[in-house]
Amino acid sequence: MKQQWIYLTGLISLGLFLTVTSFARLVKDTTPCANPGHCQELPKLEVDNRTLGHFENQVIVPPTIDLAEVPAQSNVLGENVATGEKHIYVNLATQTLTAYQGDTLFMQTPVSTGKWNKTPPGDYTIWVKLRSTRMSGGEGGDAYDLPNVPYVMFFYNDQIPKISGFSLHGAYWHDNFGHPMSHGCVNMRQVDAKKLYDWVGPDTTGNITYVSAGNTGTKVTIY
Amino acid sequence: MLFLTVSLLMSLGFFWLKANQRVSPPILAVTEPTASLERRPSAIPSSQISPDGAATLTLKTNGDTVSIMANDLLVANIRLSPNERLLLPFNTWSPDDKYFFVQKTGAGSDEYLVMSASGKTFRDGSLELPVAGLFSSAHPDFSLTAVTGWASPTLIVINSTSQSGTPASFWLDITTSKFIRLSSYFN
Repeated sequence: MKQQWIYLTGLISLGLFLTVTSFARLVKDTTPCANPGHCQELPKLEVDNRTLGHFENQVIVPPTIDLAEVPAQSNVLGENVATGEKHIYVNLATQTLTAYQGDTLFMQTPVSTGKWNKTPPGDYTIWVKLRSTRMSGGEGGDAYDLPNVPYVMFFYNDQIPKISGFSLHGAYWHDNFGHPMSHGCVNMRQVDAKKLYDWVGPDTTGNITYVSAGNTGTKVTIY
Repeated sequence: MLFLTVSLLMSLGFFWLKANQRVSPPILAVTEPTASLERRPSAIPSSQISPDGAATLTLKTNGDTVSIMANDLLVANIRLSPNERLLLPFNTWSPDDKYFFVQKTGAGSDEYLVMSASGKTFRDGSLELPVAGLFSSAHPDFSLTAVTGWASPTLIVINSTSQSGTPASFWLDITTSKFIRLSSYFN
């Protein structure tokens, strides 16, 4: 009798363990992640001018990042500047990014959104800008490791948390804009990413710029 | 025993859900841009900067000849027949600024010519790689529909259709002039 109770208790414990761990894994795996190598912590500034990058089984030479470079001024005194709220639109069907300030067009350019993982549609807000970071992930032939990804603008909303690491950024490893090429982020030509980075909120204060009370992030609509 | 069975079934159920889950986009009010600038840029420029902004490719037309300039270097002169045009696609430059391709259009089917920005020749001694010509020789059972850009500094993305109408993508490795069939279509 005693042995039967021990046996039953063991079975119940095992059953509970299997149920709880399976459920926990399901919940964890539903949180989207743009770069699986970096979704355990919030994005951070990273510069590595010595390491080569890898993408699609190709060796890629990253750009040299100089953190001493002075960031551009958003507005030059004396120039006519547009007024109104800044807003970025990314059209997934046409692979086009359009940026407005009020009704004034700031820029329109082809981009590359998610091919291996879809870029999630929605309304977002930029919460931090990094001059450079490292992105990695994928598996097998799809594995990638890219140092010195330039001009990175991370965005989030209630469904896509900050740790998911979705962003707009420059891409130095391909030139196939206008076609999906990424693992979820919005890739841009480096010149376009720099132009956008210098324009979007929060206004650049250094190589890392977080939003704050008087320095808010630009809205991004992906559709 | 019954409880263990139920727990196991529930665990299997969670694993099945995970394998079949779809991430649904959030239901939000998406605001369309006020101006109708939805289409990709359609004007074909006579110059195109490289993705990092460090180089510029320019086409200069003189009669029936188009000169291709990579910064200040004359890379090639291309003579065109009256109904032909030479175009600079948006993705003309390789990501490392070492190569570019131009599109020759108007004489039936388009040709895409890959060249070195420094004027270097390819392995066979030629100044240019004719992508469409090479592709039709290597894959006569496919029709090239577009060359869209660069997947890497030396891989060009080619879209095509098979004789049965199935879309297929390839890479052209410009260092070997070999084509690599891809498992997914680069739309």
